[in-house]
Amino acid sequence: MRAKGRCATLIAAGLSLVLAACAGESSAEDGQIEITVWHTESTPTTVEAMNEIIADYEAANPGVTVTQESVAWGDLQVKLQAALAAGDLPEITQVEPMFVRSLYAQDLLQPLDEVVDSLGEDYLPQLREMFALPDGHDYGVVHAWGTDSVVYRADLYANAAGTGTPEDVKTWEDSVEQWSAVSEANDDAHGLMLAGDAAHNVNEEVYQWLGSNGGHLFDENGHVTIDTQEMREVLEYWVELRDSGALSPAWSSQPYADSLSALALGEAATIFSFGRATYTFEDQAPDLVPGEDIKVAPNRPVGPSGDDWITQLDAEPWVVFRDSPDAEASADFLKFFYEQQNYLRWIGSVPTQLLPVRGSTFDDPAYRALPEVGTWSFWIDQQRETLASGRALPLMVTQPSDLELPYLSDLYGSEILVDMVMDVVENDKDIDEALNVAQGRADELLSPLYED
Amino acid sequence: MTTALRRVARVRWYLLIGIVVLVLVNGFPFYWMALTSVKPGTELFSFPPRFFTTAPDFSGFERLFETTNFLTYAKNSLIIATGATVVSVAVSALAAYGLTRFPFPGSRAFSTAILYAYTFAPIVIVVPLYGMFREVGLINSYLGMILAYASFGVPFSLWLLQPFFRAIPAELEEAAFVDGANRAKSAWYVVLPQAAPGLIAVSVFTFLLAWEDYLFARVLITQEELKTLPIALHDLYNASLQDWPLLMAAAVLINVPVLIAFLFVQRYLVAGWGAGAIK
Amino acid sequence: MPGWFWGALLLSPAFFLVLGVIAAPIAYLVRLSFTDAHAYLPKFGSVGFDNYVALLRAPHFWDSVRTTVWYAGLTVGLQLVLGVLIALLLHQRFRGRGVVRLVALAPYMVPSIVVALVWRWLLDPTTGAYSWAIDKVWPGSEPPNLLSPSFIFWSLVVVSVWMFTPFIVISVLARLQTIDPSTLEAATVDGAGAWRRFWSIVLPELKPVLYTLILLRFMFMFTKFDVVYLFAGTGTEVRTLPVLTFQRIFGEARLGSGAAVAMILFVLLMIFTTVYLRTLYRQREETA
Repeated sequence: MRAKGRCATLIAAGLSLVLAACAGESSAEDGQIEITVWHTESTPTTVEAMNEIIADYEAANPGVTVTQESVAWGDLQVKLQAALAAGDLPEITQVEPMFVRSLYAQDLLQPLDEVVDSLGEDYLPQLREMFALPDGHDYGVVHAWGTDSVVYRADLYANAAGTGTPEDVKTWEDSVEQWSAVSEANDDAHGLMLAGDAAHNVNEEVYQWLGSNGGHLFDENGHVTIDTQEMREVLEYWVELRDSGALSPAWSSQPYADSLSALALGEAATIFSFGRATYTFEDQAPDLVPGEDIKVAPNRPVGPSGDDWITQLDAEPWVVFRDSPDAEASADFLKFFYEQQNYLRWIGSVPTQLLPVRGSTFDDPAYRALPEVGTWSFWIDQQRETLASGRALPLMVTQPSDLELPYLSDLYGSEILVDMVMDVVENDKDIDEALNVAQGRADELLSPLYED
Repeated sequence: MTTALRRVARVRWYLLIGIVVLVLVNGFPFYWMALTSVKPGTELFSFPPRFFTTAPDFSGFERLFETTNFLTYAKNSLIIATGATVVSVAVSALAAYGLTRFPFPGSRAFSTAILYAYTFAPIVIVVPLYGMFREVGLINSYLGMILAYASFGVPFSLWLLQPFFRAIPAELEEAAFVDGANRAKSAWYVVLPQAAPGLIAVSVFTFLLAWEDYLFARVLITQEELKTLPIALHDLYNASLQDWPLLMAAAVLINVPVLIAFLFVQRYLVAGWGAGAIK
Repeated sequence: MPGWFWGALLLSPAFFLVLGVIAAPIAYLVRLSFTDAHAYLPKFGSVGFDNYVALLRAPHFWDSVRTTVWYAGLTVGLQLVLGVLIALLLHQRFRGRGVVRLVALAPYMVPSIVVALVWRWLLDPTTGAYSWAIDKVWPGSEPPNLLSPSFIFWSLVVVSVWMFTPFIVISVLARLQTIDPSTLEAATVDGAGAWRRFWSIVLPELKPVLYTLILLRFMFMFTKFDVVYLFAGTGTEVRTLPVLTFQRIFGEARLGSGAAVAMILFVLLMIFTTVYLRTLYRQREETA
């Protein structure tokens, strides 16, 4: 009898839990402005900085509620697709540069001219041009930027006497020779570590290496081109890096974060990395001296068919969705975000990763006073040089006109390029066959989306 | 006599090895998980790895509670899993009672259809379900998640409960009628307690299904404040800095309630699931 | 009120729940699979059987079918052998059996995401405990990277078997407990060794359960998504049909084509289930 009573109580408790949960959902107070912001800067300090900015904005604008949601980087695309399909978009979000055209093509974006104007003449032109679309309006404003750099351990290179450093490397051939020599000279370290665990990182290398070999993913008609001589050479280079012992065999399962640890812990002498890595280095290898043991090269190696190298520009823009009744207010919030004292909080949360979008900020004493900016100034300067040189291009873009194609992210998400690389480098498939297969799959995927 | 003894001894010896191997293989990942959650940073990446620690460091747990919304995720998981269990068990107990006490034309066909539903895989329907939930506003809601998991729990639960209900002799209920109880009362006081092992087994089954699911939660929830534990953990893993003590602290905490519950209901599980899986 | 009315009434909540959340989406899935629907571009044109034709012609679809069959077959086979062994072990009487049983069954309770993370951490080529142990016993200088494309499939098989064998153990254990101990004792008295007793008494008793388990678990592994995706990712070595479905929809944004893969999975499931039900009914008739 007692057991039965307890059972009934349990069920009743469970039911009331469910009912309470369902009742708790209705929110939406009328007449209020509600702005939801999605971003991919999930570092706790950055989230905290955004909280402060939001608190100040809400204090200055009664009746407005701003909510931020930080999305893990790899999930933004899935989440955005889901939200698009559900018609449940946030007011403001960061997106990959390649995705702006897709959204614009569907007439989903609010022009952000006033936000760009508020940034002034000082807004770096390389950033502005990406999202100043032919209709004369700006549809995205970069929140902060960085470039992918060749980061290396000078101390490990010194063990391989006479091979020089990545700064001396001109061609892919040089790099294979040098990095394998570094592997030879160090017992536990390999010359190069790549992050091959996530499809994202493999895509990154493919387009950057292809672009550094004079190749393109899309021809003048915007049609995908994979089975080219330039791409063949990319794959051959990859195989050579593997066969020569330059590339760590752990690369194919290495998450990006672990590749940074590999450099810090002395398992790799060279990685390709963005500035956030400084935190990993300071945390895991506090004894290494920035600028002496850990250095960045101002250049990258160039492929046999290329004249110059390219690298990745990480510069997600804020975009605002026009369907929301609060789209105007959202633009106003962004203007507030870019006001210098607020903006410094944002970029000051991870200064080596989030470089300012206004050139003058680099000379702002408040910016210069940030400790990371002092310690890692050589890396920040290198990124500025790279951006100014025009060699930094966003993900999947080997030439600026690629940004006009609304289906870059389909190719990016398809893993066609990743499969090709893994088949050749890890599974010893024939290069020509892999190129053919990849071309066939990409044609099938993208041809229904071509304009002609 | 001596040969018989020797045979016993040999069998025991194999038994011991088997047990040791089993415990090591099954147990070590749990040990490693718990150990990592309290390993100080200096020992974390040491190679060869350290197999114990003398200076446990609980800062991973601290960071978990301070820098993430862990409690929110746990609350969401608990609400959704409990809700799904309650709905699923209630609905399938009703149906099982109906099927065994009031067979009607088509009830056999219904049982068969339910079996087909049991073999369903979430991946098959997650996308259309997403589309339909969107239409009726069940995306990003507890109710939507509860309904989704409950309906995945129902086919198995119903299938498993039927033999339990069938095994309860009708005379038992009729005896209660004589005592003046009506059918609902007799079902509640006489039939349900008899079916308790089955009910416990299906409750655990449905709870686990909802507690551990990744796919539905990933697709049907897009809001931070509604995330369940599995997707939150995956997001933490994907975050830019992988904090292993924090991740393993979360893993430990996700497991603890499940393992404790399991400890208590183990007996019923073997009886309940066994009965279901055999027939 | 007639009895059938009450039966239908009691059944209706279950009926509508299953209809709404499982059956109706299938109908929608059928429709979707005949369109070129895109995840974010506004497209929803009818394309007839194009999605299916394209799939059946694509070599990587057949690779995926092969991977799925291989994965399901291998993991079910291993689970079955290990599951029966462990169940026999746990059926013995020894001190501390309760605790050992708990440890034996525990992996089944762990969420897939936890299994995936813990095993990735154990197998990490540079810091993992298991990688270190393998390094110790590996003859060559460079031990294999168990998370690399060359080994990930095998690692996935190990992890899946680790995770799902307990279900077999539970089922077999339950059946073992119903075997009359006196038959075994009688056989022992007759001088039958442990091996003989297993083959001639225990195994025939287990046969129906094992048959059921093979079919059910094959279906289960055939459609497994969580642990494959979370532990092993989406590379070609582990791109089973469920992963391919996910990849088509969320990676390539091809809703129509993804729906077609899901439909193929669905039809295969229907076939398996029909076979399963037939054997089930036959078994029932035999025992009846």
